[in-house]
Amino acid sequence: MDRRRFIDRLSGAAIKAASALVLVAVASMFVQIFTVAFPLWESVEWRATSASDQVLAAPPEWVGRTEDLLVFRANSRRRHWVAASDQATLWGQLQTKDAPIDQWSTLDYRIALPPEFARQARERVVMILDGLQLLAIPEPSGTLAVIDVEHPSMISQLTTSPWDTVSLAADGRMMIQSYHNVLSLYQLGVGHNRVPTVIKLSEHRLAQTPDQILVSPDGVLALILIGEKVLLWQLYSDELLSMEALGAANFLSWTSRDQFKVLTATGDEQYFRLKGFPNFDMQQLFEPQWRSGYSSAVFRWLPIVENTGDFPMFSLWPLLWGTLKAALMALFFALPIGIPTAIFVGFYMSPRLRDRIKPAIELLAAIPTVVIGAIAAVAVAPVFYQEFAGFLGMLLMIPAGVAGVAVFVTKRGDAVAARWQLETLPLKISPLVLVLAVVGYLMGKELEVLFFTGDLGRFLVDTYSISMAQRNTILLGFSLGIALVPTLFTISEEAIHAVPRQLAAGCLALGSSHWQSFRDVVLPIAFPGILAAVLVSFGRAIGETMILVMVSGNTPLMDWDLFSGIRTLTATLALELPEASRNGMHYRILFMAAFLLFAFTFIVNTVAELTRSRVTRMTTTWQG
Amino acid sequence: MAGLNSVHRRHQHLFRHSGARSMTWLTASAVAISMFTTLAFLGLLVGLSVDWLRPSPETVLTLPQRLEQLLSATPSAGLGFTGLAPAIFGTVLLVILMTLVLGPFAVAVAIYLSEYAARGWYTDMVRIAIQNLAGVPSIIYGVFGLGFFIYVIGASVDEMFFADSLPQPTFGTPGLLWAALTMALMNLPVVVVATLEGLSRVPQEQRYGSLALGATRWETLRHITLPAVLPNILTGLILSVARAAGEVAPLMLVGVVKYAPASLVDGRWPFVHFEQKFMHLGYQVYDVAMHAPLDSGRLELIAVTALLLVIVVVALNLSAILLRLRLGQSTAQSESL
Repeated sequence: MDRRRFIDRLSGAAIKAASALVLVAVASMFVQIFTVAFPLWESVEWRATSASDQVLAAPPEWVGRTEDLLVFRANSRRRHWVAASDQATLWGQLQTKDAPIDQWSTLDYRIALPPEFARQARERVVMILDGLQLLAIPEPSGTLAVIDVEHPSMISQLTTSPWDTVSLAADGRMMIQSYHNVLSLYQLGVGHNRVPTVIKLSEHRLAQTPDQILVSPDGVLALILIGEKVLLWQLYSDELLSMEALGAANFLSWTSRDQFKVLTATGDEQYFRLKGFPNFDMQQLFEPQWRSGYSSAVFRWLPIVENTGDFPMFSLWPLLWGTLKAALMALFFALPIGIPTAIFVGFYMSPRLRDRIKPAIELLAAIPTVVIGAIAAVAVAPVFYQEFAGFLGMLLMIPAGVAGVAVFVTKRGDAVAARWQLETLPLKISPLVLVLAVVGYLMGKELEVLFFTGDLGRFLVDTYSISMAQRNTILLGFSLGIALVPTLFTISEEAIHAVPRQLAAGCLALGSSHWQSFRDVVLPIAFPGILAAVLVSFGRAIGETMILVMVSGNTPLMDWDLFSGIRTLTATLALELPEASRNGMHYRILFMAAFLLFAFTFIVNTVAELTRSRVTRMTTTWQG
Repeated sequence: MAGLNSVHRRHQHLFRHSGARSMTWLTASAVAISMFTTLAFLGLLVGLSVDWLRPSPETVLTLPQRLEQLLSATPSAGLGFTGLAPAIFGTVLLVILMTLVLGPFAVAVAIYLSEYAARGWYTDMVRIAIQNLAGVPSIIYGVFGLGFFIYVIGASVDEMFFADSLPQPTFGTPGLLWAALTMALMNLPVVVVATLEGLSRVPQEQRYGSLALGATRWETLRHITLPAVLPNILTGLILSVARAAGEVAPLMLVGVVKYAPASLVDGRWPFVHFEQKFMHLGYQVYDVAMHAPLDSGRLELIAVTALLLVIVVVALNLSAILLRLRLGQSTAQSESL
């Protein structure tokens, strides 16, 4: 007896513990994803540390000259360094590796600056820009010379305000100190036809003249020493991150990416390390950003930059845009198929046959999306370009043909109608659909030859300069739509079928037609359920990953073009999270994106669930 | 709507609303179009697979040789793909491990909600939470698996038990165990809902009878309630297995690789190496489709792999449906908790 009681207690405790553990897991899902993203918002501060063993990297060996070296930058195809032997002459080397030849070819140059640039600067300042081919040379008078090293005789001149000191940040941004205490941020860009532009972004008036301005090695932060105070400035978001008095500091220098050294008046050295994410701010995620390669502020998702010294871009808009575009395109294809199918099976079909057919359709929901994605990406995408006209023909012909026959049937009246067997009607229509598909395809091809010079893709490019990506939004929408149909069907069919059949039968007895009884009696009751089906499918389209990874082309573009590729949130998570370094900024921003996705689908699902429970309540009340 | 057809037939003369006829026609056409699309898709898949199976004049291999190559090719063979055998093995191991974790926990949650806890705000909250988990995108589970299982739990396990080999992570890196846990969490709602549905169908009198005869709560559960809901639990588990076999996105974050040189099971203790990365059939489809060189035969290879995956998943789902039919329950996975 005691043993039995003991086992009973033990098992009860085990069940409670196990379920509690599961609940903890579920709850921690909400918390954990958020807590990874959260440190991004923590305020940036610095703490005293000991000297780090991390040292700023010495110039790599491809830099031919180390004394008088001004600046060097590199990406996978280009390397460029510049040195100045005296005030009037620049030396440098541009190394390029272009696609066909896998070897570095070098361009050595020596540029004698014209007299108006050769005068003043105590220290020569040079920026390497745009494809690492342009040099920008700011002068204290406020002139800015931009030289293409391949055509050094052509110098374009731009104007900034005259300055006392200039500090260069990454990506063509520079901070100018002028009139003693005015700091202004400028952005250099390259517009159409590679015409360089310079834009003033902001101006700040400090209380007194700064003693020293020092940009961090990655070109994102600036330390500004004013009297006893040290200011930490974010050059991309243009905001003051922190300000602290550091005693008798009189000289600052960076010792690594996140550590700086303070030399006090007495000759002591102190080291400080930055905590938090000084490179992060919300503006980056949701506002357009300036970068050197563009003539205006842009939304871009470029988490991994090619040029050393460039600053990654983390605009979420292209990803959100892509996600929404894909989901809407998928619904465009799925809705006209899924909901009428649900109406036929749920309303017209006999319950016996419906119970047989429904599991078969639900089985389709189990087909792994990776299979749909693979077939679309490998079997369909490569021929999409040639077959687009045929596909378009099918897309137009099938609905048009079916509607045309519907009109014909309506006109001809009872003779045709009498022979209908509702149950097997779809089977009888199937050959018609096949014929329509073939006719549509051939017609599309024929029209392509007749009107579009035999190649619709080329025609679109030539006439409207619309170019078609292999993995484009139309194909993506179609394949994602196929994946959505079973979900859409199942939920809306259940809503329609749940409506008590006496209601429809009563309508028919009163002389209304099937469609009238559906439209006026069944639909109003089932409508919230159908709406829930659309919402759930929308949530699924937003959360689907594999089809989007494989068919979207993964190009984070923001346009209305249906022939271009996109990149979605889910695909970005799947592709970038394994590569992102743990607890880095990119990693945390991806977690934040995941949290947004999580929250969004959670809301959509909850709304759908509430809508659906309304249907259940209504139908059960009516039945009772 | 059984009666409607006979009504229709008997009162043909009343049935002269022309708009009605065209709507019937249009919805029926939609059914035909969805059938057509599905068949076209499956036909493409099967057709490409058959293409692969048919011996072509330029290959010297016979069909059995090709099948053997399909199963056991190594990357060194220069085919741009790895044989399917390790992927099938990895999938099976993942699914077994997931079931071992998922089964007890999901059943415990369902039993707790239905048999132990009194219905209140707490259980309502749990029900809503589990129901909502069913709609969370699968990639989110992968993100959570990476951020929590691997970088929090795995890293702590490393610090406690494998400190010698740090900074080289042992469990603090994507691997089989974490993938199985992630999949278990993802499929939790499926099994909980299936079990709850079964529990709600066990007549209350049976429980009362057992308790009245002096059985403890555990004995009632063990001998009366659980045997009655076993088919439901099985249905839920089968559906989860099918989902785990076909779902790729979360696995990309928690431990699947295109080629795992080390074997998951060998003679070294502890024989099954949970911390190792593994291969997966669904991921194989993705990898060959996206990364294998574009040569002749790749398309057909993808089709064969994909077809195999579809057959496995559909067979599992079919068995779940048949099980439910035998139980005399609705064929649909009920969404009500």
